[in-house]
Amino acid sequence: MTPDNAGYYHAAYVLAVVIYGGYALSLWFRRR
Amino acid sequence: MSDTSVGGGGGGAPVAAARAPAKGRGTDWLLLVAVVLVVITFVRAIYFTPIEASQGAAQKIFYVHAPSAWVAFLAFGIVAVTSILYLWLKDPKLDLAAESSAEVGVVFTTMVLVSGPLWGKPVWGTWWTWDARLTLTLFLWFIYVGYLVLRGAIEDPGMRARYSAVLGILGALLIPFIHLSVYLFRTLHPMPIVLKPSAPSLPKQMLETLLFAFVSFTVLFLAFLRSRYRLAIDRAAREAEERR
Repeated sequence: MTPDNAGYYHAAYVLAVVIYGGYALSLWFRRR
Repeated sequence: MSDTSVGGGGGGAPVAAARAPAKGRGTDWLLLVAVVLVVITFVRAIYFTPIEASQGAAQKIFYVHAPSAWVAFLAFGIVAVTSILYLWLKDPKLDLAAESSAEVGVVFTTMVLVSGPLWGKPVWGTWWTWDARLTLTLFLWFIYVGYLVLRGAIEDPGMRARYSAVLGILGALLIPFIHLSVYLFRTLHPMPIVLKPSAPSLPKQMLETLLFAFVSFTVLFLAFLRSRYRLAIDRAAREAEERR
């Protein structure tokens, strides 16, 4: 039976957005 | 002033580059393209790629985890190459490229170290295990965080460039060990399924999504690297002005 563990990958994708989005914002702020 | 500092005696080209910070200050088209590609990757991975039967939906972390690891290795490989070239040619732009690539590499390695435990918990039953692949990756992260801290601690540009070049080269020596660690040591981490001598062992849809993710994360890396390099050039020019 396929386990129900979608929460983990949702968390990983949200963290990817936070980490990469946060870094893009940090570059933008530092160049201002 | 050290001859290796930006704006130093032999540094005409870096100064010329540094004095044109306005160039490229508008829309960052490469970053926009990268964002679109990453969004397409996410949509494709979430909605158009089948769920792996034994691991469940958590296996989709793969499409973020593996490309981030590839980019981290690429970034630190660039640090090593530009550092070697810096020690040979003493061109300050190479030092700034190494610095930029190291910072972006740390960001991608952070994503690897965060996404790995999120995948490990549902599949292995533990967030973390001190096996070779995971531990060496954590060490790689520490080395390049140390590299960035070292750069911040040394004021003289020439000394900073030399010391960090040596650390940047030594740090990258971990990369082949990390890649081969699953062959060399007993580990929970799975074997490579794409970057291996034989053909990739993934169903077609999963492989296509993974390859698309590799491309999109690589473009994202290039966008970050370009932007960070421009920032480094601007800062180096300001530093050179302040030293006058």
